[in-house]
Amino acid sequence: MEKNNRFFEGCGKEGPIKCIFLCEFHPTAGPKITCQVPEDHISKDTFEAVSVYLIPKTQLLRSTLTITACGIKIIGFPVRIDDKKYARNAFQFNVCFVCDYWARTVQYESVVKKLSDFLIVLEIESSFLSQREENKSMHESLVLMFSKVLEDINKSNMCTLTEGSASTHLKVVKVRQDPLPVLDHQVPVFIDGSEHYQAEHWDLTTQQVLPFIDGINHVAKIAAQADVDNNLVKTCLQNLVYYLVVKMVPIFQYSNSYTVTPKLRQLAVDKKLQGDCLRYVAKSGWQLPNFRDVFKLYCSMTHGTTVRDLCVRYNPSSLKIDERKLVQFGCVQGLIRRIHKYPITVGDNEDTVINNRFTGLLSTDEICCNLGIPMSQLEATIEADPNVIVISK
Amino acid sequence: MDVDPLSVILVKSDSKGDRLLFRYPYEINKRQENGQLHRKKNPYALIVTEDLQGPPPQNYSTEKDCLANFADDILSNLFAVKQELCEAKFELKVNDVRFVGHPTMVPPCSRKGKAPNRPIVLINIVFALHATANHSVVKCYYELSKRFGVALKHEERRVGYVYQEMKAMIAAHDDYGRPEEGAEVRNPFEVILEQCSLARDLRKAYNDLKISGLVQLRVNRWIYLSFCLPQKVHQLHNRALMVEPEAIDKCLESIRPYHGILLLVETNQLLDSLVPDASPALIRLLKIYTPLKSLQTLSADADLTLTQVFNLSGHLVYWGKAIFIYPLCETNVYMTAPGAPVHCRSHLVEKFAEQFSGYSLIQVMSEFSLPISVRHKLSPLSSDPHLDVQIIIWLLQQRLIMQLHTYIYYMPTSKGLPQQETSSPEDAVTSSDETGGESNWGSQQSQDDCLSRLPPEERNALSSGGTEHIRLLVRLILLDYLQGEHHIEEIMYTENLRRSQLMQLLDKFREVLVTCEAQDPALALFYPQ
Repeated sequence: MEKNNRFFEGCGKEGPIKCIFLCEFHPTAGPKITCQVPEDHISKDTFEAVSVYLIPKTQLLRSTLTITACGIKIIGFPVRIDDKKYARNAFQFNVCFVCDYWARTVQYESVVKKLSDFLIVLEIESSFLSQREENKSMHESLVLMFSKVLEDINKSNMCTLTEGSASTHLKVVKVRQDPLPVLDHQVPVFIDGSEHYQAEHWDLTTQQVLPFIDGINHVAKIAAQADVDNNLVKTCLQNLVYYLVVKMVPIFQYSNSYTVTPKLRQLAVDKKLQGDCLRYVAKSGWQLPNFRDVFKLYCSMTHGTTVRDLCVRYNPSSLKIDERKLVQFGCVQGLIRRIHKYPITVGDNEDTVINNRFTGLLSTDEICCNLGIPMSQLEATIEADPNVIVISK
Repeated sequence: MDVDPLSVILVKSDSKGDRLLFRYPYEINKRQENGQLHRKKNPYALIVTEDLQGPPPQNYSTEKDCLANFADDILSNLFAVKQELCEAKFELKVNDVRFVGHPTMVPPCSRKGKAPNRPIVLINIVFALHATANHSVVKCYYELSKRFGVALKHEERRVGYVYQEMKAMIAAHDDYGRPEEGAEVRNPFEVILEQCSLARDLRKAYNDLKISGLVQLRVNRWIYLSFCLPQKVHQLHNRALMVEPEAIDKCLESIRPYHGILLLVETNQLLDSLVPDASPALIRLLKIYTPLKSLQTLSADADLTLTQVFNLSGHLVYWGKAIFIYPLCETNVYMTAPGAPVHCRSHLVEKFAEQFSGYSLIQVMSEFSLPISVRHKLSPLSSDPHLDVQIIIWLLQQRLIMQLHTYIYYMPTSKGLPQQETSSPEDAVTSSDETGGESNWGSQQSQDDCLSRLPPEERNALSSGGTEHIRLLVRLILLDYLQGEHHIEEIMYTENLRRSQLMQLLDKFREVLVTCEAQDPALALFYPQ
């Protein structure tokens, strides 16, 4: 019962590969499974029921086909090699992964395609697939290859195959939603501390940008300091956001106000998160603050209460808390969120550079960053103009 | 995420083979398309054998919404499934298009005891969706395909409807193949649409799904088919919203009798739109509905059981006619919802001005920039308090404001919440009952008694404060109400307390009681995340 609860269709979880098989169009017998690891995972009846989707019509060749039926999910990439040497002038085959019906399988699609392309190369160079009936050793090496893919991918999400002089690398890349565009005024923060990410496996631009990510600099400043084009920095950061290396948070200012999210409850009950939090927000490494004080500070963050107000009321440094880190931890973990102010002009105002930006679509942060003016100046402008209304949300 | 259908396809398969009977939308200039296909198959074209990667797979859905890249025979070949896959969910993904359907076996009608002289036919109504459509959307479309199948099965048994329609469709396709002399060549699908009511029903279903998410039609003017795509109907209220049936089910589990409902449409309009055989209980509930009352009060007023009211409200939410709220009252605190689309060019600004002349949406919204209670909003200076309430209701309907509740965390020591006690919850309940039942209120002994239920390190913090307060506090602590899971209104409801009692408690023990204001997580699904 419990198992049913955890894995149901649409639970959104990823599942292991259960089986890998190769099916081909046999010149006399028609569609047929010719190699399967582990053996007899797919019965003959099941295969016949879905064979039309595994060995499809010509128009659907080189398409990723995923069929969910009979309690399983099969991902395949049917291909055909045209050559006079084959019995019907063509050799059509499909290498397929089988997963549980409830599993998410998009991440395997590119792997299936790549494996299929690798087999095409082997077939063209050495008739690796078509000669198997005569040459038992070729069949065995195919079984070994499938076992290796199955085992390695389920264990470590990657696999390196070598067959004769050809080799290929398979890697399962997690498919996530596209990250939101990165904006000039946002600040990138490392999610798990920066030390893990100084490695050389990033591209050159990212390597140039990485040292300037310190949780304080905003995007436009990083671009200037690293001497990299602004848009390139944004692309780099968006990439890092995708891989969950950094998170974009709003720039820290004492005039900001924040509000708690429902996730704050997790901080109250999750001991591990509490430990992380205390270490992160501590003013100095050797004296951790008191958890109740930290929690109280978070709870006091509401609309209209700026960080400056909090500092005046609680004096965080006497509580051994660094307010900047407190806000940063809250934003990265999603315990609090920034309340942005959106100025809107109502009525007729003269067309000035600044008035044109009071549409309600741009936050004060964006306006300041766009025009390169300090927040205090913008606030004074808004204050002085009776036609400008501010909505915080 | 895209919840709209790309296409609807009807395929049959019987002893005479498989055939695509109808698809909608269909391409208008079919000839031209065919010409292009032929050009691709140029026998003299140079085949570059080294090009192992082949041409990149085409993106089917992006090119045209009607899936012109899938030829009719390809589709019929894919959807005329083998018998093993019949009467079950059929799901196939081809590159970036996902097809879902419920292949149905339709046994032929037998008139007056005569054995049917026609073979069983397989009918598959398939919806093509974007591959990114999530599972709950796919499930809803599957449900619709299944319902169509059941209706068709019934109509075939009753009057042989499927056979007639099928015959007419096949005839239209065949006539297209060999046009009569002098007659103008017409697209077979056009002819089918004119002649076959089934094709018109499928077209209506497709269009309605795209426009409103609601399908209401009579198959063969006989079987009533009504279907709602909750993701779509809620999206029409707020574009950023994704309300899934599973989320509604989950929300219903956490809804309590003190919650209320807020209709998103005019009550009278909703009553008019109901089908004649709608449940009388629903009509009764709608007639006495007000957003000021809790579900419990509504059930008493409508003379329905609470379970019935829960079910009816869940139904209204599913159909996008209502959302759950905490009933409107003076002490409710509201503020602007994050991401509320209020700006110069927002259509809501005009809509608001039409509804409430003399008020400006932007002005009203700026008043909610700081959390404000209804009591404060309804200032004595306000000329028309009724109008102010109407405005709040409108803002809630548009999801421009949301309610904040106060949650209480009991943190007796600097470590935060007390460690989980070893005693079982039942123990805690019985002990609190005893506390409530004791008659010696105010005696020193009972205060110690109360405190003795707590671990020693927590007692010190509570020693100040009156006995009565300590008694209440200990009761709430032992019942686990002070762990930030229950808001003040819920504690008031379940423990039958007055707000002032809790406020006094918060004031007396502010050293150990930390409060925070947040949204009710049970209702979070009605706001874009």
